[in-house]
Amino acid sequence: MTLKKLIADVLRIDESDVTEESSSKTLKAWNSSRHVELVMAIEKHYKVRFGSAEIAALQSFRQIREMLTKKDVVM
Amino acid sequence: MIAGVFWLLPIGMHSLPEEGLYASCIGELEAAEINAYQRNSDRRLAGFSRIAARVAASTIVEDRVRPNEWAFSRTTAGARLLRAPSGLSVNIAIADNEHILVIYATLGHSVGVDVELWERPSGWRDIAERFFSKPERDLIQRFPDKKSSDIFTILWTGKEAIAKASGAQLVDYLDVSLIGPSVKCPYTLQRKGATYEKWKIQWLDIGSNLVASCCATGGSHRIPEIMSCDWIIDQLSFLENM
Repeated sequence: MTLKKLIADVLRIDESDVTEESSSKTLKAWNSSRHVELVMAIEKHYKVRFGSAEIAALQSFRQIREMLTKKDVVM
Repeated sequence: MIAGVFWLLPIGMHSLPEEGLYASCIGELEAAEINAYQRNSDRRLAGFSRIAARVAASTIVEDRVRPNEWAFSRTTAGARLLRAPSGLSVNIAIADNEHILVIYATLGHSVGVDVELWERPSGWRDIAERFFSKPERDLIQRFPDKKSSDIFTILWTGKEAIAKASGAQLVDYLDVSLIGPSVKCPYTLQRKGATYEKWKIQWLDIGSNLVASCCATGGSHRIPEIMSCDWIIDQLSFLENM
């Protein structure tokens, strides 16, 4: 499953709506509640763990991808 | 003036005004926030929710301030406010989910709202285990599956409402306990075992598989009024003649 598909599934939107620019400011479905669900789903799927500060910082597609890269996750 | 309003607005895309229809009502910063949304449906809902919030604020002050005179602002902590040119301000909270928009507005008290589906995602037990306080986890585990899921949802929406009222993100408030020092005092919020903040919280099963929570630092909760989008738009009809 791609990162875009994972985000789309959790936010319950079409995969085509998730773009490089997508963030909590550009997608209404990316609200505070879904954000926590999204982080938990990413942790489970990629077998990583985020700290509290990291969870708060993961507010966009790019930030998530960069954080996963930093954690040596192969996407 | 009245203490506050708590409105439930059933919404459908067909009933929402087109983008830009009430642009004269919305300031530049707000417009930038709304226009940042990728999807037309998100922009329309975000625009309409801000219009409805203005009408709610005008209702509280018995129309002494017109809806287009309010400007969105934030407290130093980040919670939403509507300010009139006179300096008068109304605390405002907005939430939406599926086909419901919730507006809660008061004078003089911080307020927050959230609306969520009763159905929780499959990972809800992991979320509770990781973030919720021990008394909350104990309460969830005390009940069979469906009931415990409902209790999780109730606690979750309460935390989200308080986070909004505080101008924070949910992730900053997941670790607070909604179960106070006494079961008889469930509306006392305990944060990290040290600080207590007093909140009044109320949960409402609003139908359509949705639960809403509202919280305030004081005042009395009002019975929610079910409003219609058409009524909100009618309140703004004078703008079209400006």
